[in-house]
Amino acid sequence: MRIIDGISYRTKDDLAGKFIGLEQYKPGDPSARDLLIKMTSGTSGTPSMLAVSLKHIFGKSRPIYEEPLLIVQSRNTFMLQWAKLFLEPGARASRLLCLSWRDQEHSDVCRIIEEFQPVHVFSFVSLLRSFLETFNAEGRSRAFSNVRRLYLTGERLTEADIRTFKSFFPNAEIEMGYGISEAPGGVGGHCRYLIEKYPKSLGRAYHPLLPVSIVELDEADVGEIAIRTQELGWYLTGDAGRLVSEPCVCGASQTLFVEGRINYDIVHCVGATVRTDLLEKAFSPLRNFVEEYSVEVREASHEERTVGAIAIAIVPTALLRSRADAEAFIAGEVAKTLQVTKTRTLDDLVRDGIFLPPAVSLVEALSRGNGKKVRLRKVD
Amino acid sequence: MNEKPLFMKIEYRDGTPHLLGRTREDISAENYGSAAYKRPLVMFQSVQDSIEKSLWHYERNILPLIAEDNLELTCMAAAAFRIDAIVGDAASLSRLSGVLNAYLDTRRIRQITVIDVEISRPFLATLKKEFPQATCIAILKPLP
Repeated sequence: MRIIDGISYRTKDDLAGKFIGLEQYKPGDPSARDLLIKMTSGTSGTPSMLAVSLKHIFGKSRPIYEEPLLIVQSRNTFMLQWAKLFLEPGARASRLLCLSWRDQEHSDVCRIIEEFQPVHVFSFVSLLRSFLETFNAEGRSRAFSNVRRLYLTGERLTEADIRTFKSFFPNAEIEMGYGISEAPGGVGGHCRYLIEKYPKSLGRAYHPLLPVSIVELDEADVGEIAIRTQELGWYLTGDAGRLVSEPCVCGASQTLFVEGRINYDIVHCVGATVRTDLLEKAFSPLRNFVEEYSVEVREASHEERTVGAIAIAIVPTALLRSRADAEAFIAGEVAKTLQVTKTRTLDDLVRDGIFLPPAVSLVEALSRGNGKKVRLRKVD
Repeated sequence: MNEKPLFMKIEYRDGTPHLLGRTREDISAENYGSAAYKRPLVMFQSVQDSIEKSLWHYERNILPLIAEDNLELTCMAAAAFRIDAIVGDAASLSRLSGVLNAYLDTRRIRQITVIDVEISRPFLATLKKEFPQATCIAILKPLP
């Protein structure tokens, strides 16, 4: 629990190993139908368990529920949630198909989708990307010809993703939602007027679907996104964002800009993965030179290509200060040892032009501390 | 267009997938035995089966815990939920065998419901040994 400006906020760490919200469950009572058990593996490997009420989502009729919907997912809990919403009393007649890993990998999956004829597709960005790799050109045109809406969540869309998805779903509009597993129904909703107002903001600008506040603002009014849910009260999402009060044509009055992850433990970037545990391993031999560090990962344009860029802020020890080549020394050592794919180091990817050499800066103090020594985030 | 929303299942006949539509009423009307428990773990190889049987429990005002593919995560969740029953197919129950007892006291399990196209007596005997306090219910489902 963290207390900020007198308000108590739950964090992901507070949920590890706990089962929140189960007191709502009264076996045999019809209210049990409104509940769903959600579990997350959590950052520590200890699952968090939540019994969440779907009551506030039921009855919110959306076009996505009213026409054939294909779900490409990896978590059974998510798919059960969709099924419950889809089959709720009074729901419009349509059909829902959830594809598990096993179904996704079947050689006949293309024919099944063709038979199902989805109009909407819901998935996570990375999951859909890998799923589509199994389709050939002929198969994709038959399976996805009727898709009018591609509804995505999860990580941010890259330009390459948009090109890929447009080629598979030429008649579909791409919508993105912002959600976290602790909040069924999502945190931020897509709005086409917002995308028109803020071009290139797909996957970044949303209207809040829950009470949202931003805490510990920096000079650019960016801070950590906090949400309030029935089960959790105020909860820190770990995401960075900015909240703007402004009227929208759709009637909403706030815009939430999601800027990335704060203290993210895993960052995906141009096919590589930066992980806090491997960062710690890379910095471990440098403990005589580095008091503290923080790392920001971004995708950048370089010579008309998208490359990965890592910025490292270091609070140096006296020993490092005494070195004339302090920045280059740290950059070289970290790149040499930081594993960013199963078999390759950052140095390998720098040599291949996939990443820029890490940019190291020496600072007096890290710009924002929250008790964690390692700060890793993906920024835009 | 059908008159009611359909949850589509993928049935594999001789390895070939086929679509099968199920309404909420279809699912509710199924007989998966008496649900004389409060906290079931629902675990099938097919995600559509897991969802279908979970929905069946909801129709009876019972909150199910749907298993994930990750066995360790499922077992930890089952312990946290304090499950008192397991509903699954033979393959999934076999996966739990010898693993679940590391996470919870399997004597707490009051009922095991096996739903499959083939259920052998030795398998049921194994279940009985593993879950000594549980009533085992075997429900044969027709071949797809």
